[in-house]
Amino acid sequence: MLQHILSGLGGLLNGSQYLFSMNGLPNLVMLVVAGVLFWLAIKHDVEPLLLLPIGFGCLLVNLPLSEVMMKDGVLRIFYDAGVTTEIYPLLIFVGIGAMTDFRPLFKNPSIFLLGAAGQFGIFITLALALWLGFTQLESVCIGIIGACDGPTTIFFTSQYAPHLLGAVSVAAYSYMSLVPVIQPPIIRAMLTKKERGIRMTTIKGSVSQITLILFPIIVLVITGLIAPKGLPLMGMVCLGNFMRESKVVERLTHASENEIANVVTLLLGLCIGATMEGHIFLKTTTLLILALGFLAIVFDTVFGLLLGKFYCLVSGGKINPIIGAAGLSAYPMCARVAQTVGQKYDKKNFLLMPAMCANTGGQIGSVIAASIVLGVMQGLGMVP
Amino acid sequence: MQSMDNVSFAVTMAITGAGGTFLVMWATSIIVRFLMKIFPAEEQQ
Repeated sequence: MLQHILSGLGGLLNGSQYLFSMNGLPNLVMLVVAGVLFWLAIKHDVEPLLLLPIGFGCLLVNLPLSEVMMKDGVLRIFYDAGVTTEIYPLLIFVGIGAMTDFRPLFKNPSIFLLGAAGQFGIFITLALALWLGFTQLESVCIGIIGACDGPTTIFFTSQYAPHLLGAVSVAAYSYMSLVPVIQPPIIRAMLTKKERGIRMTTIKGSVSQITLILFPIIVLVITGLIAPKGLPLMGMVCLGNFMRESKVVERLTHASENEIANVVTLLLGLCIGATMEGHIFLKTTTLLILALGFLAIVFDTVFGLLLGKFYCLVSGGKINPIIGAAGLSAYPMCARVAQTVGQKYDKKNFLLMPAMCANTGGQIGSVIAASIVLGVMQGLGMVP
Repeated sequence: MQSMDNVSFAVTMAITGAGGTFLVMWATSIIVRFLMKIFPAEEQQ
């Protein structure tokens, strides 16, 4: 009888014994990491919609002897339903398309190309990852952090390097929210005071509804013809935007922006956190990925500013090259950074509208870049 | 599946990926200008 009671009590202590043993040390560290993610989300408002559920998934999977990610575990069910099938990031893309207003883009289409330059960091980071010893598919997934677009990163990594999903996702979302910290020093280093102080006039004018309706269809057709492998990504963004601009399916648009996006964000965050089990996550590769993710954003900014400087030269000094830094997909953060940095040198300089053009270009540019990468990979025979 | 050395892969991705992105966005910007001309906003009409 006493033996049975002691055995039962022993069962209650297994978890704590494991956590404070050498085997449980990685899990203990990840429980602290979960706490850091909560602190960033709650105290500092750093991407709380994602970091909070990611932190919670990390907590659940690192509690000792947790079965949440084992066969028939709750997080495994969510993971298999939406991450393995890639449905979660695609549903989020519908919401992103529904939330995006492309009007700023139409007022100055030439600034659109800054959104292309803002993706060049993908390819530099890809090369660096190869040099550091990652495989070609892993390097593509790491390079895609440079798209500065969480769902795109998850779409690629869940398909081509699922063992890196935790590290790549945390890198992508963390650095996106750190853009206001990463970009200003680069802008100061690359631009002269004169360049930073260039005033830009506010672009006026409106856009016809038919243009707004046709735009997502045309972008989808062009990208689909060139890179059909990217149709899921581009298709979902364009669906969301098409619904928004048609103005005849307000309920669907509203649901895409709100209920669907919110539910999927919650489940996706939990699933990403669930891949952060200590023994899998705490490796040298994770640190390398975090470093490469940082470099991806840096290179995006550098190339955006270089194209901005070129525009400044060609326009005879009418375009402030700071808006080149807004060509990333982190919307509308990059545009706000451009506005803030510009006003530091000239309080009467309002760069927000032209920066929003570039930022919107970056949003669509990231999806186009990802689609093109998929198409090239298919052409090289790397993917079916 | 083609096997490529890493240098060739990186260069190929940079040229086709970056170049392709630039070309598609340039083509899109041309189409946007075209649409703005064909379908001007109501105030402009």
